[in-house]
Amino acid sequence: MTVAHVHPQQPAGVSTETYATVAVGRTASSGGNRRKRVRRNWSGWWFVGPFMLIFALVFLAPLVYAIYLSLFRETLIGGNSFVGLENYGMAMVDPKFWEAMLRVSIFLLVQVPIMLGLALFAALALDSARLRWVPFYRLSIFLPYAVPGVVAVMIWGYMYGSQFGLVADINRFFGADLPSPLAENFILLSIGNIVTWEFVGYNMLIFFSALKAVPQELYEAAEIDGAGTFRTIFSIKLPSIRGALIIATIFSVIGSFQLFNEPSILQTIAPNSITTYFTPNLYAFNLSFAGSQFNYAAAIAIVSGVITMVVAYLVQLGGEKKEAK
Amino acid sequence: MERNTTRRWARLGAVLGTGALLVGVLAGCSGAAPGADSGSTDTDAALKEDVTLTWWTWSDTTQEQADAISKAYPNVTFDVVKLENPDAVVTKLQNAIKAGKGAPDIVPVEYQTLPQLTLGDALADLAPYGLDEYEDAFTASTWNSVNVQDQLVAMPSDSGPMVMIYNKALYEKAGITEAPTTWDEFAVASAAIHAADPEAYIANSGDAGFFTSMIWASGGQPFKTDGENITIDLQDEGTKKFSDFWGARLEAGELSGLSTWSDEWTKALTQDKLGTLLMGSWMISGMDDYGPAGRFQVAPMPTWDGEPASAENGGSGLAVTSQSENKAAAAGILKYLADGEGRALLNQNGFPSTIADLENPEWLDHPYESYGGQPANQIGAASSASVIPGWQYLPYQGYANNVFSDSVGKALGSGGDLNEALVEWQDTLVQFGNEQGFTVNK
Repeated sequence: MTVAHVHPQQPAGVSTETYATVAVGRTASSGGNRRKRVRRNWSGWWFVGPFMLIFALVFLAPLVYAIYLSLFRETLIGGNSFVGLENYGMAMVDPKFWEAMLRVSIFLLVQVPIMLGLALFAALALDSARLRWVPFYRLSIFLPYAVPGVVAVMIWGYMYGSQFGLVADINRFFGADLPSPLAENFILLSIGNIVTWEFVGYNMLIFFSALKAVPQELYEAAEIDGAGTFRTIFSIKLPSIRGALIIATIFSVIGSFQLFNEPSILQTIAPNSITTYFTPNLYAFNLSFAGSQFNYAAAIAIVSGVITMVVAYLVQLGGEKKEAK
Repeated sequence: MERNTTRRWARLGAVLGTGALLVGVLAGCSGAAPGADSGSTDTDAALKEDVTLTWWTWSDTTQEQADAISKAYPNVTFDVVKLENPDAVVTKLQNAIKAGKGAPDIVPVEYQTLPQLTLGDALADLAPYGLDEYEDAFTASTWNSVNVQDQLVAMPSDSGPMVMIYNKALYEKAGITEAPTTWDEFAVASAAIHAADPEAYIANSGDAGFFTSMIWASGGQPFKTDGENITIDLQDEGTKKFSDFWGARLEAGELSGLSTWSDEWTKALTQDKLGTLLMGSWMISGMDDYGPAGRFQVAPMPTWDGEPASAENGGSGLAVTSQSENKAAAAGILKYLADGEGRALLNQNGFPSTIADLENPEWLDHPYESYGGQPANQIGAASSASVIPGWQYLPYQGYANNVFSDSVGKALGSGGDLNEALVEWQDTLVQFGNEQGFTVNK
């Protein structure tokens, strides 16, 4: 038998001999032909290494640790035990957690559009070239963002006071009977007001800088075509800053789900209006630091993190879809 | 080759992962790892050697006290770490215990938090160091508070027998010339004050610490702990007596909704809009900030039947942590502070817990300028003697006080049914206790 073994899948046009040689060679090399090994070059790691290390340490490690924690349950009596996904099962049917989620969702649906609407209005106004003292307005709208959140809440907490604060003064001066902003029914509204005040300037700045980047030629072209102010806004300005709008919305969505500072600080002056599970973050915080339920708190944190990610992703998807149209 | 490398990495990963998991599990198991303490209980010998003791505190005066102690014990230096408030100290301590390291040597602990920290093995038993010999020096109620689950877990530092501090002028404006001695009289005064000035209230509705103390003073004992068995009854006779009474004031709109210690609360006190503080005697020396001399007076707590009855509200002891590597030295310092010279140091700030000081005529007759010369300590001392015995806090009182606002606090804020809210609070506490491995109400 001088004829080489014919492979059943021998490609047409390739002689049997050639095919056999190539096939044999391949088999040989995959069997460990050390001569042909390419030395791996590791020097690239020196460049990305520091980043990877810090990334792993600061971002991945806490996340992995939280997931690890969430699979256990440590009780005051009985110690630590592995419970698998039981904490997640508990979270799924925990009315307190879902009440908190519902609350921040309502907050998101009401507060974010108002805040972004105001920010957009301010940015367009500043960009309209019809205002004098633009830097002054820009600075004063942005100023609240520079006030530390804790201080901001203290200021507002004082103004909300219905016996000695600003609300009390208004009531006394006008003979009005405003309800207490710190009462249970109004507290979410009051928090929304604080958050709006704090972050309108920040979002305005994002929009304003995006508007500044719009090429001047577009405006000139629009003017030549006879577009009025509003036509320019809707046909040029808004489409041009769509990216900034989406980013700001995503930030605000995340911010809403992570609502913590404002209710947490207001709790000291209105403890009876803000429950320990007012927002998902506050709930996780109280679970771990007041109830020592670190494991369940970790599960809550991860579930709310996933929900936040999904919603933020949907927002991004929605924005992109519109862009594609 | 490529596949080999991948496999090797995978194997390495698996080994590392398992290792990490094991370390984690081991760390999880060894919640309260004992420090490298020598184990000696000879406190005198320990204080003869050079030692640095870490001392966490929420008080501004601890550094001064530490400096003074260092004069008496030149070998001992202190590293005083001030945290913002008692809750911050507890949280930080619990985290350190959970982490297995980082706890201080000496730490102040509120009486109500002692069971919780004892259960978490955060505190050292001080009896082996000879602190049990000081029992007779302390009042029965404070000594009872620091003895938890058959261990002596702290040395009482101050105490808080309840007194009534009231705004005499505000009461008089409403036609009430004498301090109410019974709760019925208190109710009459309450209605009169709010009627005379619709912006004025006899008191604010209060927080968890106030509520539990008031239940205590009314003879209630809603929390009973026996090892791992807990009974919670927030509808027992004493509890209900108080909640019915307080609920009636709430329904009548006679209680201010301001949160204790808030800015508005301070304003209400200084502007004659808040008539009464029902608080621990430590507040006796703290009224200078709230008005001109003589505006306030101190009176005994009103009672249900005219017989003196009181409770502790606040107050704390000094403890040595289980992680301390200098337990003997730390316990030696607590001994120094238990009586004599050291005790005088401790008593400069706070209402005493030692019988000798409570009976000291000079201290008893000390006239307080803020009360127009009234020797107010006498009232606090009398209250100390009439504290109702047998009260217990839950081994998870911190959690209980935290979730108080979800049920009872909510009712206080919105004028809801207090008894219903108490039952709701109880349900939460029963569920939490059972989840945590206790046997609650079974």
